[in-house]
Amino acid sequence: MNILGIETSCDDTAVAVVNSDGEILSNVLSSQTEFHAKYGGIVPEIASRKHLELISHVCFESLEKAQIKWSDIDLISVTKGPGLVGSLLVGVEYARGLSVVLKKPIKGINHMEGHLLSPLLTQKVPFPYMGLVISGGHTEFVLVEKSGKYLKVSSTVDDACGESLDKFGKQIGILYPAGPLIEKLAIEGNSKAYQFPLPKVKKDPLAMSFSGLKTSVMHVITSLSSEDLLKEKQNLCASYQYALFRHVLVTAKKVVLKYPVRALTISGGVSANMNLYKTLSDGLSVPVFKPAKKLSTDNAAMIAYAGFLRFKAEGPDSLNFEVFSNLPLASYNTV
Amino acid sequence: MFDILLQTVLASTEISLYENLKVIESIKKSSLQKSENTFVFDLYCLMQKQKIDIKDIGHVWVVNGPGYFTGIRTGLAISKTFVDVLQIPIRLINTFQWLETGISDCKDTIKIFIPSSAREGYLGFIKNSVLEETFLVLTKDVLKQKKIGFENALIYTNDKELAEQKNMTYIEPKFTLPSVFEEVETTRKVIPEYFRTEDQLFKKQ
Ligand SMILES: Nc1ncnc2c1ncn2[C@@H]1O[C@H](COP(=O)(O)OP(=O)(O)OP(=O)(O)O)[C@@H](O)[C@H]1O
Repeated sequence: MNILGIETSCDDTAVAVVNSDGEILSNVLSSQTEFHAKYGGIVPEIASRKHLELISHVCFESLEKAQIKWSDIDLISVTKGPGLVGSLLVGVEYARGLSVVLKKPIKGINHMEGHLLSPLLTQKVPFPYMGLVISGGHTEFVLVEKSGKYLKVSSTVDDACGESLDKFGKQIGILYPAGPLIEKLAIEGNSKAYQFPLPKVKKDPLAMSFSGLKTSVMHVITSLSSEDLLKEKQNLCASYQYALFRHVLVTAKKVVLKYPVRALTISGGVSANMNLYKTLSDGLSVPVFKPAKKLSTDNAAMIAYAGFLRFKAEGPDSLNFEVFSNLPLASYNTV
Repeated sequence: MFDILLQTVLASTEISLYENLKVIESIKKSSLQKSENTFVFDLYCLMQKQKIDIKDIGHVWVVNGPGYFTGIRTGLAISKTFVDVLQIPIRLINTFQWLETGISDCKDTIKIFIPSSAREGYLGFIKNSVLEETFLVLTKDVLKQKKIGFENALIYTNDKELAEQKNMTYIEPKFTLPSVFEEVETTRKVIPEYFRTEDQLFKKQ
């Protein structure tokens, strides 16, 4: 069975073909990042227009790379939220149209579910597992009992981890997305050079908070002369990254203690960070899985595969499923 | 041979099936927002009901603006799949020319206003199906005609509410497919004309 995945929730137009064995036949992405850079951020109306311009090209390229024809597609899977509605609608309407002209079933998928299930694409992960989605927009732990059965058990109450890295990066002159360069610089620095407090959220011991750490590091940055800041860049990156990931690890330990699971997975942009993977693997008693690098950020292969798993479990969606800018994956289990 | 029409750009939308250029069945919705998620579903239902298979479709006609920006993208995204997969040509209809079918007996230049967002829309001058001029204007300026240089001119619109605000005359398109359209056989280059330019976009924000 071949599944065509379409993802247009934000500013990347992505189309992928995945088969029912989880093999990725193609995974094409056309990024608008450079285009939006000149406006200093994503302009929703321009993003959706670009999706409309690009969707056919990206789709054809994906079929070509997968070396298949339209008639070889058995299922269409598309992101239905959360995201920018105008952008989502382009992908969803194109997918609905394909479903009618190809006479093939369709599945609308939650973008977060795509991230959460993405580690399953390249390896066998035992259920139940704890999924940590850690990106520029999210930092949360979700208990995955099986595909389709989720319980959010911990989340950040303010900034997302990737967002904290990006904001810190901006202060020391690293362009968005800052995560990859911070990781590189941190390797050359001393993670003990600066000490930052371990955040605590009073009302909810399982919740995370990153904004306090950001304030602490800003104090250090402003106290340094520009000369010293240049010299201390590596040490700052190493210490700040250490503080963020230690907070994630401490929370992960509490979470897996409360909800016994057979594994922990990490996905989302920050999961590309090797130091995060090592911190969690060394510090936890359960095995840790991460998706292949190309699957950690937004992509359509994860949407295709999540669509396949949902289709197998519950059959197709009706053509008139709704599109949501805000689409919670699971209810939040407050403690 | 059957044709499909997608009009997803006006405040009230329509999905229709034609046989030999005559409408046989149509689904009209009074609110674009509420029908956003159901265009393809409605089309599918129409085809099922009329027992029409995809291979019986000769052309897809799509009204491609001006009109609500989301609606333009929606109609084009749907119609692209027909060309991309089945190489069924699509026929792009300008909204002014589509609405003009609703005005009979017009020898002079007609002014039509088509909303494209909550605050603005396109004003177009059309004569005998030839579009003379179009520009983006604020709705409130069209209502105060003086500001745009017309005093008590007859301006048509498809928007019932605006028409009720006195200065405009309500029109509804007939189901006649217009004789003026642009036929495209590959959508790889279909880029809608009626989107705000960057200047217009940022002036607004
Ligand atoms: N190697 C890395 N180390 C740390 N952070 C990284 C790395 N690579 C990417 N990131 C971070 O990942 C984030 C981007 O990831 P992604 O594209 O998944 O998220 P998003 O689109 O911002 O959010 P979401 O998908 O949750 O809406 C950025 O904050 C970026 O700095």
